[in-house]
Amino acid sequence: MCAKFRGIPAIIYSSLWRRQIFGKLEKDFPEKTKFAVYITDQPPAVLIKINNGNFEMEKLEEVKEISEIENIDCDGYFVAPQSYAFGGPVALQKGIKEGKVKMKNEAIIFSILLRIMT
Amino acid sequence: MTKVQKMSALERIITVLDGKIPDRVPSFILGGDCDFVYRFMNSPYKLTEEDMKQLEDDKVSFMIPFIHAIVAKFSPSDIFSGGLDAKIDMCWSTMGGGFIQVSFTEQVLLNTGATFDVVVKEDGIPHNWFTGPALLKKEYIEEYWEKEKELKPNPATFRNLSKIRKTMLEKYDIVVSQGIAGPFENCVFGIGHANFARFARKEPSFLQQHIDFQWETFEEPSLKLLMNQKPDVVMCGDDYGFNAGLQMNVKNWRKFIKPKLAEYVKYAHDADAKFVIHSCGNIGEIFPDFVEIGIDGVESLKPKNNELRMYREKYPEIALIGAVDDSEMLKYESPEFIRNYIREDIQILGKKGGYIPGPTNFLLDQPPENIVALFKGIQDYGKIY
Repeated sequence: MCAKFRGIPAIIYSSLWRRQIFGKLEKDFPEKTKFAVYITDQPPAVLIKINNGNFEMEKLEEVKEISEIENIDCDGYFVAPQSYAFGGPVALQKGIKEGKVKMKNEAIIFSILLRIMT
Repeated sequence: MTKVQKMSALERIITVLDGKIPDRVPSFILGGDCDFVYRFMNSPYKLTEEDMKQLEDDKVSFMIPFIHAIVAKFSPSDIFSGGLDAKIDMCWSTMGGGFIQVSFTEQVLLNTGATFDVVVKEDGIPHNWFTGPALLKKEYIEEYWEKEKELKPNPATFRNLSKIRKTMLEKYDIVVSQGIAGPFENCVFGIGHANFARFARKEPSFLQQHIDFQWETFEEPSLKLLMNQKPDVVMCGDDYGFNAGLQMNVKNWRKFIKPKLAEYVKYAHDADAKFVIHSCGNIGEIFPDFVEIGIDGVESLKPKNNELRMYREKYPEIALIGAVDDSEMLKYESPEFIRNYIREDIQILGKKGGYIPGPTNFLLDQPPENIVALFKGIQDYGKIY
């Protein structure tokens, strides 16, 4: 099977797609945003751009290590293994302590992810 | 002859589920997946900016696959100014559970113990997939039982269901039937059909223990939370059939599933709600059991797999819901063909009440014009009483 995206990137895509198809993306995401998500046990990382009621998601095949996400030009990023990403606030805090969950611009990323998941 | 006054959608649906004759034949839709939403929103029937404003002001749900916003668009213009005048009387929404994590797989599991995936294919349309059972060994099932606390249902999600239902009924005269997954799906999605058959044969007490665990941990608590919200119609999904018959030996269905299904029905009836079961496939073998436990309606009923005329004659207590072929007719035939079909279909299956036609399952890749033709046909030709 040929899939553009699977797993958590596909869940994010699906949520943005639903808003876009119903013309709600600009209202829910009025600001121009560019952020990266790297689910470390579901590579590759993806870069998501939201602008003016549209979104694009592209694979970042060049990102092989967590540290390499730092090189990506974006407003924020979220890096976590799948189990931590699904585990809620407690799992995320645990992951941050263990160094398995990393974020850049936490406030922005949390705000975006919260809107995506609701 | 007394002329029947125009009923509300709720009166119409309840009248049919009560086995009485309504003012006209009502209609039903289960929902539609992203593929259908894509087709609909790129068709002449799509939601306009004005529609969107009204739907958002009314706080109508845009969730897929229940597509209440699109269902509302089918309303007559006196209800919704941009409506398609092809009224849908009843739709559906249901609650899933949360996620759990276990030691024997890296994958996050659904509350049933099933694996899932969301996939975006090359055409850019997302799809949600059940990808198989994860509780494939006895020790995996036993570890799952240790997750009891994480499997408890969240009351907030049921309160949200209530808001969705009231909005659709009060603003759009559409009944939202609501429910949870049934006992068979909850069981086999986690342990798989092969394990169900194996345990039923070799270790029936272990299978019963698993079914009882799911009932006590999240099925019964979910039913309590659901009924606290006072839905008018409860519809639970539990696919028992495939094209040629049941997915399991009928003795096993009666031994392991029927008692739990009867509890579901009792919860609904004790709260003065009607109970409808959604089950795909050929399920004629258990229609007498449905009568016995008091089920008010059966939904899906693909006509090629089910003897619909016989069901109507032999089991008049049970309303037939769905029963319009969506895998071939609604996909490949013309709107004119579909209008002619539903006119004849209503005359045959609906003449004594007891029929709520609609697509048998979630809409997928059917042309939107065919779906509009179907519901307009039910609205136009349903006035037979």
